[in-house]
Amino acid sequence: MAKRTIIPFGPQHPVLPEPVHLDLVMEDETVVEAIPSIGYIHRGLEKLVEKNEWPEMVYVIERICGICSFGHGWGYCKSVEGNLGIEVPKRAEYLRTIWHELSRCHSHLLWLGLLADAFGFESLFMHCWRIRETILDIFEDTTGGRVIFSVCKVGGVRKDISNEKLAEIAKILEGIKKETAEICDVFIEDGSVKSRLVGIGTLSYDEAVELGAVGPMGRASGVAQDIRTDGHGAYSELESFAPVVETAGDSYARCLVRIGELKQSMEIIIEAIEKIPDGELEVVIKGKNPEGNFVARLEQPRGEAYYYSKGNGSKFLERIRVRTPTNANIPALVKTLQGCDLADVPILILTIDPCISCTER
Amino acid sequence: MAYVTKSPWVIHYDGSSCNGCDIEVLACLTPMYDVERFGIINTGNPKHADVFLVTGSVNEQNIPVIKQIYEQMPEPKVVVAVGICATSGGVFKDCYNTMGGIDTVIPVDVYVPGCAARPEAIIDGVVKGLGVLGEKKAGNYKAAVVQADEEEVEVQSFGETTDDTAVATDKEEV
Amino acid sequence: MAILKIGKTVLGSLFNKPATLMYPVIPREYKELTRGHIDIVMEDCILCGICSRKCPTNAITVDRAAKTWSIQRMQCIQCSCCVDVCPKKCLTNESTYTTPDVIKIVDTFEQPEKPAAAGAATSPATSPATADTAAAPAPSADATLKVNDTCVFCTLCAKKCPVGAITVDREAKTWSVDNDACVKCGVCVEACPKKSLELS
Repeated sequence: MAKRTIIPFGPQHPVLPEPVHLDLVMEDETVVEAIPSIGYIHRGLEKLVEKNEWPEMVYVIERICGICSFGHGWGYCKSVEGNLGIEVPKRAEYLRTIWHELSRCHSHLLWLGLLADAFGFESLFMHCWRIRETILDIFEDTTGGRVIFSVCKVGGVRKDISNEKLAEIAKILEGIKKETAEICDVFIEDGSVKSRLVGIGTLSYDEAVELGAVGPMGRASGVAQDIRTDGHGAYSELESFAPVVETAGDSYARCLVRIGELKQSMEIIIEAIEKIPDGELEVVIKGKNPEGNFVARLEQPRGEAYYYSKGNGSKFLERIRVRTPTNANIPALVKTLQGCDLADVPILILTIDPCISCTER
Repeated sequence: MAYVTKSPWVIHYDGSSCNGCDIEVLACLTPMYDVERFGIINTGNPKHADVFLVTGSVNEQNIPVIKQIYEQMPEPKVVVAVGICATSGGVFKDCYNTMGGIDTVIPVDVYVPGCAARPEAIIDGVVKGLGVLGEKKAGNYKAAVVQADEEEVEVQSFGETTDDTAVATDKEEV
Repeated sequence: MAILKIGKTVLGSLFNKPATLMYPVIPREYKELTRGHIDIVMEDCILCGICSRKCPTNAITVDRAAKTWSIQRMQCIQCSCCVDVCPKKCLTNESTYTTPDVIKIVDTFEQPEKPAAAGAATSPATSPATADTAAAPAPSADATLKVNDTCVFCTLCAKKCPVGAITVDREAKTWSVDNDACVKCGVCVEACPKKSLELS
């Protein structure tokens, strides 16, 4: 029997932006088992509902994660709005959708850059992040911040985007669409990229369903589930949206799903800009406090996220709970790591698009 | 801006942050801000690094990790705390699991504010840190380290030290 | 052939101007909405303390006795919550960020001295926002809000109150104030069309 050794991986590792610790049980160069240990980012922020009133709590929830920041803000606001029983004006819903889809674009470009860096393709990393800077400029122009926007509030949004600015954004996106299409098409057709991604870390349809894989991880294995189909925000009125599903289940399929979503997001934003109605930005809430339970669901760039809030009629919420997509994808990660080579471990960790700060809140 | 004679290498660690400041640190390396023009490289090996960029309000579990990275770095070294969470704990100051900033664990030389800290602010912070590094190398650095509680000021002098893990050789209460 | 597909990007990289912003040499231009640091117009501030109550990180300290407003720059997350809730709109969010430093910067602003007004047991200086309140004395920390008989129960004071301390019932013709919630900011006193409110 071959000798077994245990190699510790992380939390500090140049290729890994997130502190996750894995104990890799190795037989020669093959990983036999991976034992994850997380907990390096747990801050216990759900307990802060006792100190911050529910309108100010959105600033804490936004800072669960810097990459999916707007999604968290929207999810929390949706959950409290459900508790209060109010409906947000149409223009605010469209603006939230536009910002969320821009968030998805920037997140997928970030991911693509990190994946390329992980297998030594540094120039793609630089190109992707250069294109991403244009999107961050749009954020700064419309909300004031590059990473944390602070623009979602319970009842609507805090800032408006004028129609001229929206037209400018549509033009910028047309430009980015062409650049990304060119770069991504060359990337996925390249022989050396295929040899590193095809057949690595395969997750079959049954395994994906059993382990509860969500988001692009699940959709790459054929699990056609995308929360945007339930029509929250402006999605029910947008035709460019359709879940991107692949069936191969390996890292290459996950790459294809995310690139497909990236291109689709830009179409969705351009369509939303054409269809956005005029109207109010928010519903003013006076003298009412949330009471009861409500669960809101959102499709974050990494998958499905749940936001649960419980109020008891006072200014402070009683409990909130956020279940993020990486939380559901870690068992799937552990399964795909079994039987892979040591050199493939960073790639596999990156294909689930880990966001450990979301997982541990 | 100080004329940089050596290219300082940077090691970056996420000490319980939301990743916002971390992606802005990585954005400094990308074409738009491009600190590689100054010879700054992001390395993974603490023994190669001069500047330690930390983000995040520190968690119980992260204390030994941060201390280990800090102790492995050779002298002279500079610690730059990036982001509001690293300087004082930020929004998470009152959480049960956070210590409240990097200076509760290791001595910090430069504080970079911002939530998330802009790449321009990070570049400014690193440049300031390089000034501190120059003073430390010349052996005439006297730091006034103000603790989080603002009660006492400890004066640490970095002079000729042969001990790699030395944090302070003399401590005087002012 | 792959080189023809990526040709446009390659030619772009060769002939376009560099993407680098050359930051320290060329100063950066910020957008209009960029959130950098909080600034205050001290002449309009009434030291009500609502901003320090609402701040998620407790970065703002308002000292009524010493008449100072101070902010810990290394604790402010630039969320603009204080800017939104200030009843006098004296706070603004400027585009330039606080420069990094070796110490934790705390900025303190003192309220400028105003010519002393007649009456009132406490210190002078209050909001000079309108000419008719120029002679009004500043409310002290233990002042209470009182209403007189000229009140018509129009509910304007209740609507303007930033903390919701006033309750007015038009039908039952009742007016009441929660003294513990009242922050003595004086917004209701100015808003009342019949001038029936007084803080003393």
